Amino acid sequence: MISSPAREDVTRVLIDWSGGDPEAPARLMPFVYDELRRLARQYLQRERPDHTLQATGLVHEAYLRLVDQSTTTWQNRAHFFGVAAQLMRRILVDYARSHRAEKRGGGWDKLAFDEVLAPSAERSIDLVALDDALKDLLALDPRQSQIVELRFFGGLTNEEIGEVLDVSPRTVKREWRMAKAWLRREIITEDDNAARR
Amino acid sequence: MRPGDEQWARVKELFEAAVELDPNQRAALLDKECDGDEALRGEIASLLESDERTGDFIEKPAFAIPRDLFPDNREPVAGRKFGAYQLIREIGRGGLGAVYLAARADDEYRKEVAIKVIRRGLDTDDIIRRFRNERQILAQLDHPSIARLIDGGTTDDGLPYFVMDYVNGEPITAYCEANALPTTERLTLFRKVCAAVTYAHQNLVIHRDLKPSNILVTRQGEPKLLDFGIAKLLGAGDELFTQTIPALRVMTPEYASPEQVKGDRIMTTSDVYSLGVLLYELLTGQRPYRLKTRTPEEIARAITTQEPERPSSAVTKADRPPASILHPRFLRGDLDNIVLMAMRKEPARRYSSVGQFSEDIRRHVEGLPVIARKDTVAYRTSKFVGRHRMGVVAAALILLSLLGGIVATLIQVRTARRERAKAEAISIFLGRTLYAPDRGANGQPTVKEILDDASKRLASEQLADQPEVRAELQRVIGESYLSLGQYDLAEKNLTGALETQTRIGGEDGIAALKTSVSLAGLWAAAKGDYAKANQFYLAKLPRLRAEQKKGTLSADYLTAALNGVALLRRAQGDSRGAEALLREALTLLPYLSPEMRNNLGVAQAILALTLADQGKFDEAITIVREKIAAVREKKKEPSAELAANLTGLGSFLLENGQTGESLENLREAEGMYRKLYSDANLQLGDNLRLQAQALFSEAKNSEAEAQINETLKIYRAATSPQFINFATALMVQGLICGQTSRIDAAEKLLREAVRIRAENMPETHFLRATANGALGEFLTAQKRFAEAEPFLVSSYESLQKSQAANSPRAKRARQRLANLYEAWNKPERAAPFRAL
Repeated sequence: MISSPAREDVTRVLIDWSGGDPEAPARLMPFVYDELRRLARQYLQRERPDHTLQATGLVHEAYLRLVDQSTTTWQNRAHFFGVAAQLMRRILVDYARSHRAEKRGGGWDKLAFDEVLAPSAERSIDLVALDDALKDLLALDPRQSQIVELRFFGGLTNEEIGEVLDVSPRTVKREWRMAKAWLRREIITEDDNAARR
Repeated sequence: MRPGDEQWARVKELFEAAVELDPNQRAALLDKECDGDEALRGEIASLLESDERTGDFIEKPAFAIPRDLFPDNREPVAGRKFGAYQLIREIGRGGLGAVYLAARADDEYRKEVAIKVIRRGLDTDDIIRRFRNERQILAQLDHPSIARLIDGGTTDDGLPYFVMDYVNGEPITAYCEANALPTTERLTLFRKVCAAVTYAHQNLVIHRDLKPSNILVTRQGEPKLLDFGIAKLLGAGDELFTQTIPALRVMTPEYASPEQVKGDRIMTTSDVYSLGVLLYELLTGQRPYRLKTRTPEEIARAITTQEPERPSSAVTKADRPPASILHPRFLRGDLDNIVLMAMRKEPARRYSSVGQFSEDIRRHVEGLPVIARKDTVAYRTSKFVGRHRMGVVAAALILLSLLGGIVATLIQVRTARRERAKAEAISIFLGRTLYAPDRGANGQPTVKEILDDASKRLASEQLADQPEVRAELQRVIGESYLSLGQYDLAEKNLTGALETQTRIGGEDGIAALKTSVSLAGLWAAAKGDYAKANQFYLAKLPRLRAEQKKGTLSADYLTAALNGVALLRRAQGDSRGAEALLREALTLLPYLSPEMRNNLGVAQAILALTLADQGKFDEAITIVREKIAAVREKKKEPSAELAANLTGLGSFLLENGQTGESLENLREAEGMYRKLYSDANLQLGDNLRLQAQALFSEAKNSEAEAQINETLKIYRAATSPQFINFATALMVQGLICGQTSRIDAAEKLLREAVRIRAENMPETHFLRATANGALGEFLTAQKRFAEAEPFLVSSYESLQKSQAANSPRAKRARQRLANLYEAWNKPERAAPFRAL
């Protein structure tokens, strides 16, 4: 495993965070952002064009590359994934938003990734609508919103989320199920309303 | 329907129950539970329907990465315009932004400037806020040695940027080497840097990231401070009074102070430390710590624990000693001391300001005596804690640690005007109170007077529209009263604050949690209201732990709560439970604020363990003596800290049978308490009680009685009979009466003590055993042997279980039994207890 200055830095920021540094999240973001970008470029150069890179795989790989696991705790891990998932959400949603503006009506915002979405999905996901609905959910139930962020944008498993949030995987599973139902209903309704208008 | 907060919980509960059932059972459940509430039923039904149809909705967290997801940051910049400025080239790149060299585009004059812009993709709210913070800080600084803010604005696509002086220079260390500057000139240059930092401090800005690459020297030899990127406005905190603001710019962590590394609150003295490291390097050509791997952990450990080598010795080892560096003998003495004083681990023991630091250098240069002295006091508390990680705790000492934590809050309030304030209102309010200029020059107001004044003005002040601020102030005032032993006033203010805070943020809001911790501490440690305290701790301890873990609650509060629970557990006879909690508290030590860490509470608590369980009095006494020496060295005048230590020492000496010396220490502490506090308080009460015990042991009954009478007067005024030391005081009074032929009174008092203990403590608790022992001893003296026996036997058996065999308490119980049987004329039964 490489030992880069960034690795020292990120580990350091995580330790500061556990020590109560309120600015740690802001300090962490540049590193995570850079690493995500670097990894994305690497993949895009190396892989065949038809190969799909899963954005959320990036988060795990960034963690492995940026954090010295021998000196960090689960708490550090939680902080890292929290920030990374948040950043990933922001990047993807911003991207979708800007393309929605550019190609209004073109459906680009639905990120045409049907090939990676199960065929049973009624329609591809509108990331902007999902983001908006998540904000509403945050007000109602911060934990459910965070679970969705970690799972959908961070690519974490229920077990990992449980570790990050310090709850049992069973709780995660239960909350996830309800959050999904709630979000789906919100998004579909909104879409329908929009269609009616 | 969008359910409201309170409804959400209900929706969630029903959804989760229903979703587990078959569809046909669901209807029955909803019929029953919704009970005609159609809105609720509809909400759940629609969620259940949605659940049926989720399929793989957001199930797979998978997206392809579009090629242009991450925009390229390295697009060519030359020629791009920012307002009136045209970029020339990139000259630097930090975590958050890039810095460009630019020039005014108009022909008037081609002034070169530096422009700082946030990097695209990183323009999150947080980062924009930090960026604006830097701009705001620079805007208020105008000093020849600080790179000036010239202009600012927003790019076409909405990114904030600012324009500042372009400094064409080199880092101060490189400059000194390249020009082979002699030592005196280095000192002069360094003092110019100090002047700039002092100026920033006067403008309420702490730089927090002073290091050579941020201090450039121009060709004209003038230093310029750059990069206030992580500087902090002293008045711009988010959270009141407990905020920690570390800022380790990790590329060169050697310049970070121990408090930065540990995540403690950053103060102006943190800049003193970083400047000390800089001076070290300027004088020796070396960094102060020898590092092998440079991992964050090693660096952090070195900064917090390693003593830097003296500059005069380090200079001889430099690989590449600066051509001009003086012979070690020029560093030995003053300069060694000056550098090391600036770099002390504890902020409070450094120079109190950069100005003082700079002034000491001037005095040295001019051959005048300097303030800095060789540092002879080791960091005893931390070493002690390292050595003694075992144990339970004595209640009185826990009390000290609790109150000590609160004293720390008061100290923070004192610095509030300069260092704090979410709301300007707070600074103004406290500023006026604590620094009121109309106080007579002769009469320094007592702290209590200041607080009385503050709470009076709080009632009348126009703060009605800022309930949060008002509640926060009320909490601080309450905690300060608590530290003065004014328990009723403390409770009144804390309760008032809690009501407001609960109304605004709920009982689990951070503000309410903090206030509750102090309030529970008051109930547990001072009022003896264990039931109330216990209820709070049981309900909220997990919450406090979680908040501390998240970083939203300072470790100071969790520690105070853990100490409080440990106190309760011990009062209930559960020493193991208490021990576990204290161990947990110890793990928080690195995260405590310096005030909290420096107070002797934690160390004392562990000392008490040694005392109570292992009978290791000698060691305990040595440690407190060391602590006292350290406190005396630090501060000549009397202080609550010193008095508490002297009292602690007195209590150990007393239990160890050294009554004469015990009395000397107790009396010195008593004098301090009387001088420091206008009114009697619990600490003074405890001190007098110990004196009474010592005097009684020396058979000075009338003196002992005077002290115990005052003790009880204080206890009765300040606390309730449940207070852990109240029964002890009754026992002492009873034993004195017994010795002075007031038999009825004596028996009444001793039985009262036994009753209080029995009502409030489990059978196994050693304090019940000591009360039984005292009564038994009295009955023995009255020749009521048969009555005495059961008390003494039970006392002996209990203490044998709970105390170390050679502890004075166990010995005393054996002795009492032996005395009983001898007086009873049963020497054969006395023998085994004598022999033990």
